Amino acid sequence: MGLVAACGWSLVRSLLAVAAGLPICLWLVRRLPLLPASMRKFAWVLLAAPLLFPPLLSGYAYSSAGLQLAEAVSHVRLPAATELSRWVAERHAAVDEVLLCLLLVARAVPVGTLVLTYAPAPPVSREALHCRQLALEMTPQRRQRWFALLPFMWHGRWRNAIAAAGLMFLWSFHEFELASLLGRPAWTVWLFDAQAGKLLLSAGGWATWLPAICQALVVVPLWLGFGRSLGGAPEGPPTEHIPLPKLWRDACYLMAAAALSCGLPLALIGREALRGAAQLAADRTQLAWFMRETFSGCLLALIAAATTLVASARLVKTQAGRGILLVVSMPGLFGPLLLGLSLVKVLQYAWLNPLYRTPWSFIFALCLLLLPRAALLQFVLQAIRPQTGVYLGDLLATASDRTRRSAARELRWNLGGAAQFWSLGLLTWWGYLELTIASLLGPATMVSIPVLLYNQMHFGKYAVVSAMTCLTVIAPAVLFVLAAAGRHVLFRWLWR
Amino acid sequence: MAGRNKGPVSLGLLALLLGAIAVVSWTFRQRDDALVVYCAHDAVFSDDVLRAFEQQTGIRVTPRYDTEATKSLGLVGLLQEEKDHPRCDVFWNNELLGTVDLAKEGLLQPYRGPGFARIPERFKDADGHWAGFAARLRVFIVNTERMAPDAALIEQRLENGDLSRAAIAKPLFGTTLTHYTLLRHFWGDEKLRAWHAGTRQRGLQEVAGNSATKDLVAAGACDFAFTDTDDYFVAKDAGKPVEIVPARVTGKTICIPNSVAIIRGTKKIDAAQKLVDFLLSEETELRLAQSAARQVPLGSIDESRLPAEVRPLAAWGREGADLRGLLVDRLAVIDWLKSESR
Repeated sequence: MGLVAACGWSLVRSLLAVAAGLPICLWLVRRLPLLPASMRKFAWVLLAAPLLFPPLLSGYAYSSAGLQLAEAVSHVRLPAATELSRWVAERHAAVDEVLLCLLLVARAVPVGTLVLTYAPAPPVSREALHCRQLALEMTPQRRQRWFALLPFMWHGRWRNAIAAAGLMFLWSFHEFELASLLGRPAWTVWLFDAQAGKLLLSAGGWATWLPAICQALVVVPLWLGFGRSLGGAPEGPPTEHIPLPKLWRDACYLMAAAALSCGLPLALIGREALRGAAQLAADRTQLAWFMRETFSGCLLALIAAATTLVASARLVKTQAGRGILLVVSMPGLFGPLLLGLSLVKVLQYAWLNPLYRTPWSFIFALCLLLLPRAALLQFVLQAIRPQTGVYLGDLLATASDRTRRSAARELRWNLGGAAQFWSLGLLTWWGYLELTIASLLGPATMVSIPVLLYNQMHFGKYAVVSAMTCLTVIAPAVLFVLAAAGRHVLFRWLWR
Repeated sequence: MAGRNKGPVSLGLLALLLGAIAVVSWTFRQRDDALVVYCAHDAVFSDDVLRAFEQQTGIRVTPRYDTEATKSLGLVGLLQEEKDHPRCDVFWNNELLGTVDLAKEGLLQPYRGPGFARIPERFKDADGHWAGFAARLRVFIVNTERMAPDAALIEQRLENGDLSRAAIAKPLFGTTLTHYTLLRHFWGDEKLRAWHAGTRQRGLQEVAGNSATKDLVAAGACDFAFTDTDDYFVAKDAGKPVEIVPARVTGKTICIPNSVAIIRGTKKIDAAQKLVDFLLSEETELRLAQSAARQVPLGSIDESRLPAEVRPLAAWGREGADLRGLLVDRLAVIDWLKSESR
């Protein structure tokens, strides 16, 4: 299969993910704010779970899913089980494709919902749109009425939905690990393999640019159309009343998506991972080596995450800064593969070559990749930050009394510090698990654990690989939980 | 007053960042002592060997593996790309011809140590640029619930039968590339291209790697497939109904050794030589024969220590075609397949 066909598969799959996911996002945005506060938090956790769960782990758990299903069916004690098993085995590719599409929808929905919830309110409010609709009722022709309403819809209700759809498309179109481990065609898999196989990419002619063109068609209008309005206040929550039983029905989607993306993959490899953990623990040398490489990976990702978070926090405050942030975020919007390949090309220049495959080129690439995500997080943090409370906390921090200063520190942690800290954790997590950049630009003297695992995952499921995958995912999370728990000691001097 | 305290964007965080940068610089300077090994052999099997070397010698190894889908070609290409600034010290290839190609380009440093001496002439370079060890065979893996493991039946299907229930890995990479190279050598370019086109027309499934072809047969989605002996043993150990038939080209089997070479320009020549000796030793060949991959030892070895399943493979291996003179065919096959894959 050539690049054009692989790109076609990705395009259709991403469009399907947007078509199926956007209505769910619009529906969740209306429902989530109406939940009781305690349930709302839980609902957001469920919603975010598919987005945060590493695709490397789900891809590994679901690899050869069609064939696994066929085998599972063959064990069912039914007269037609053997025939059914054969039927499924022969259609294993279709099973894998359906599964991939479902996983993409589950991963795109949190992105869309986040954008719709925290994007700045459109210039035409719901009320203004309603008034316009009322005014147009006098217009006799339906078609005429529709055309008159169109610009208002465009600058009103549709604007944020288009932005959400654009980002959902990009998120799905960049997908690499899931497609690769499920054995489905995608432009990312084709290009990654071509790069790894040292095929002459430039000889592919215009087709090599096809994925970039597809993304540019989304990135550029998004950037031009929505960039200027970033930083504005989001729209208030809807006020309609929805009965509780309906809300419970809505929760079913969240639970199903979380189960498919996180619960089931964990269950599928959990038992093997436990067995492998015992083997890993018995081999002290391997465990020590694994922990050392994990720590190195975390450290590099942490530096990139902290740099992007500090930079985006600075830039997001002013109009000019937001402009700069948008410009520097653009390369990251093209995804890790195109970004990595471009940097590899740039680093071949003689005067830049000494940086190639050093920690610094790797960190730089991670920074560029994480910047749009950091920017999105900053806009969300800005939207939810209680400005008055923060100001009062700042005032209290200048008190001469030590107890009050300590209380101010706690207050400021609760009002903004915690959110920034977990944003740092999230960015570190994304950077640490980034497979493509690590493969293309990872330091020559470092074994990137995600790359190592990705290579091993293609040989089937092994207990030690399962255990290492789980540890890889858990290690940075544990580090951040420990740091948060010990914040009184660790961060006292940061917020003094 | 309050504006002075800007939360996380503080001197403290900057100090933390600078501290982390210092730690990274220090850590990576320490790592410069490690031996960088580019390894095209499956990580699940080679990792144990490299760890054993670390334990035995105290020399730290940083392996860089190839992906399953782009086996060996990726690392050969990377070494060619890095020829002016080599980052790799030792290349452990999972086949022979890519290494022969590197030797021809002058990228390899000759070394004839004690390990080199025990490998038969057919599997090493006379000038000592590379040496082969621990081979596997190209085979047809057959699902015994679907068809009998009979070479004649498979040949018949490949010649003019329906191949919609048969599979092969992408021929541009790994051992399938060696297989195609050998076919070109014995058949010629025209016949190979006609065979390639004909098998695809009759439905032969092309998948990412040999482990994927094995999975299809093991699950019953295909009746038979081209694969390697190490992949077959993974399915066999998992209790799948599979058997093998050796793939032959004009009567000869395809026995593909791993190969090892030192990269010219390495600054860690002593450590690199130690690793080459270790890989070419009887101990490593036995370890790989006793591993899940059941690789066939090439050097002299105490046969009583070989697992029972490896002994027939060793006999097939002795019937193998000589792969050393196939570089021209390999390059022609790569050129042709690269143009096909666009």
